[in-house]
Amino acid sequence: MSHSMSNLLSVKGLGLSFSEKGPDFLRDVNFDLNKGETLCIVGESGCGKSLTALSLMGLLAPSLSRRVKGELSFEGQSLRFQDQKKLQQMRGGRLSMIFQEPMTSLNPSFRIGDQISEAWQCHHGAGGRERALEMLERVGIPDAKSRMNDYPHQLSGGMRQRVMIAMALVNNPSLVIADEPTTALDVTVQSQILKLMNDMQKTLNMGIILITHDLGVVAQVATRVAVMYAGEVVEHASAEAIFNDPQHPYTIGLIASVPPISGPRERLTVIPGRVPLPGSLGKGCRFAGRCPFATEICQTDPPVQLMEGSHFVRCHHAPIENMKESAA
Amino acid sequence: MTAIVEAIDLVKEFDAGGGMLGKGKKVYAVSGVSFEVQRGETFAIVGESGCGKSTLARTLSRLIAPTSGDVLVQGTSVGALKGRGLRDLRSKIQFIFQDPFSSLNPRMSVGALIAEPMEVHRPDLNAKQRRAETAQLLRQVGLRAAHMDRYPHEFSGGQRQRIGIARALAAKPEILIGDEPVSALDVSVQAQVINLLADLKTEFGLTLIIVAHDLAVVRHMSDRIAVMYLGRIVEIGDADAITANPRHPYTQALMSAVPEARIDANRNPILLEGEIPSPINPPSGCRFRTRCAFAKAICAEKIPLLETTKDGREVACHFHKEIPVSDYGSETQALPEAAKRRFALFRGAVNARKENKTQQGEYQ
Ligand SMILES: Nc1ncnc2c1ncn2[C@@H]1O[C@H](COP(=O)(O)OP(=O)(O)O)[C@@H](O)[C@H]1O
Ligand SMILES: Nc1ncnc2c1ncn2[C@@H]1O[C@H](COP(=O)(O)OP(=O)(O)O)[C@@H](O)[C@H]1O
Ligand code: SF4
Ligand code: SF4
Ligand SMILES: [Mg+2]
Ligand SMILES: [Mg+2]
Repeated sequence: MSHSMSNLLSVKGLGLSFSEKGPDFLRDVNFDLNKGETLCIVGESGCGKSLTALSLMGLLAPSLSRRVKGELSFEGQSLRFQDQKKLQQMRGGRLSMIFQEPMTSLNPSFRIGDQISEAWQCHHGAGGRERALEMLERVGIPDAKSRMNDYPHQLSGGMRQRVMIAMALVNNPSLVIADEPTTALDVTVQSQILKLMNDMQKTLNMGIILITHDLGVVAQVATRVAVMYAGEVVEHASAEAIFNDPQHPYTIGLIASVPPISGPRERLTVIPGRVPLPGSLGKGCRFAGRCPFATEICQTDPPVQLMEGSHFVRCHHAPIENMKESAA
Repeated sequence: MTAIVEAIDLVKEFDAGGGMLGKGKKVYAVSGVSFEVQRGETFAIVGESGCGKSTLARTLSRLIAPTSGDVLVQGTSVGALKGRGLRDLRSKIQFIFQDPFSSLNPRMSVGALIAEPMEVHRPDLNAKQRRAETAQLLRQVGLRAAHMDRYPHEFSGGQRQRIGIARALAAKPEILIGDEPVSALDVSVQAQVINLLADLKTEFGLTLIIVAHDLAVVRHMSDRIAVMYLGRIVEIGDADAITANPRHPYTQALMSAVPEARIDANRNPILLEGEIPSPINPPSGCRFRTRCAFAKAICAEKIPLLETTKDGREVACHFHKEIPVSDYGSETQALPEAAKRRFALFRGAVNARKENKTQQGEYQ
């Protein structure tokens, strides 16, 4: 999966088990991101998206950080996921994080101006207040100067999300991980926030990993996409390939089950069943219990196939149209 | 034909409660809403959070009383009902909640949860009949009769929503009101429950009233849509007409903000400024005017009333005749061949497998 010079992040073989002898829940997670691009990690709840983000941010609980495996290379520097401490030290500087709920990273008892200023001074020393004001203006907080003195609870949901973005970007990170940043917002406010992130990305040339369960959001913002299912990346490709040439049965079913906003209204396609719990993973392909194309061979681990143009698919039968009639 | 449900100038105001900001003030949650729902129809109320959808849904089913205005069910005023009459109404109208878990008593078995409305509303049934019907209902919502003896916490979100639906159906209602019935579900499970509701509607001859914030879900499920903004309906009419060619500036913005799950280079969302103002202090005149790109002086002075347009929908905007109509219907670009073919293969394969499986619930 080697990329050109503009490679910002590569994750190789990220794995994580919840107990000493337990099987890996996160298993062989691989993906890449170039500078200035947006990678979306998409999948339904319980697929391991947040765990992947926490592993990258050095935020895994101590009990889990002992069991994480795999490596990453970030801005040319190689690190092991086991070095959660090192990743933690990078957080807030070159690496930063935006959460779904702004109150996770905003302290309710401090003024927002002071919090952003503090985040800058941690890495730079003086000049925090000017920098905080500048950031609040850039993320579109009206009347930023007086808003500096507000406490988080005095702001609306959309404004709090803007403040958190200001705080996440204050130190010019080269990579921002946003975990469901717009999930709690109304669609018209979601549009504003996605536009803001896109504008900031262009000016700062930062890479974004956007984690979401919403395929609509993915189609709007992604350069590349990693589709996660039950702890594994089942498909990893450009956004165009994911939507126009989906290969993995989970990706196909997921996109097909979204009600379209225009065109004829037909009965919705469904994926039967639901995402398995980490404790109930069987042998072989983790999607087999729900996959309408599953055959005998799917009881063994599927290989990762490389399709045209850096398009990776973890499936025995992709592309499915080549399957024999009798098999399906 | 009389409408099965008619809302007449419904108003619901709450006390804003304590606190410095709220004292003595009112929350104008629903401010004069009227519409009719015909028997057998699916009617949807859509809008962003805080616009008064849940309050409206609760007022319709008399879970709360309106401040003023009335609801007629099959021509009978609900406000005047007491005792027996009110109980009959309650059996006619059943409610499905967004969060099936919080609405189900965790200490009651699934069988007891479903039998309870039968005990209240259908006293003629004996225990054996109730049990038989509970088993039948469980199968109809895609679960198994054996699930009767289990408890809600043993089920996933989608299964709990199915239990909530079975419980609502147990009263033999004519009208089902769902407040965000699929909003908390993941997309693959959401599709299962949307299909289920469509099937049950036909099977039980129901009238559905759906409240939701997701315009794509609402369009898919309903015959007619009412779009709400800050306690008022801004546009109401045929679901396809409204979503393909929204006329009210708010409906236009809402439609354009829905992120579609496909790559579309031409997409250019209308960006609204700011957020929804507080319903404690709503703007004068047109409540949308603080975010509307077309607002003029009159919009602050005069409340725009719903006016019927040529195609039969109603729009509440002083300038609806001049504002260009958006088009989301005609120029939908075709899906790429590869995607289209695989979606069809997937759907075909799921249906083929379903026919092979006798065991319901898991594979559907
Ligand atoms: N410390 C833990 N021990 C056991 N299971 C866990 C732990 N942390 C997370 N999980 C489980 O891992 C799965 C994936 O979680 P998560 O990464 O939060 O998914 P997503 O963000 O995709 O919804 C979930 O089923 C969750 O319950
Ligand atoms: N019991 C109540 N007391 C005071 N305010 C309420 C109450 N219920 C709802 N509200 C307020 O009324 C407005 C409309 O709420 P709601 O009907 O829940 O909107 P929606 O369902 O569209 O999100 C909101 O501002 C909400 O805070
Ligand atoms: S490996 Fe088999 S079960 Fe898994 S997705 Fe591919 S066809 Fe389906
Ligand atoms: S009445 Fe005025 S403010 Fe309201 S939607 Fe129409 S143009 Fe906009
Ligand atoms: Mg998550
Ligand atoms: Mg609500």
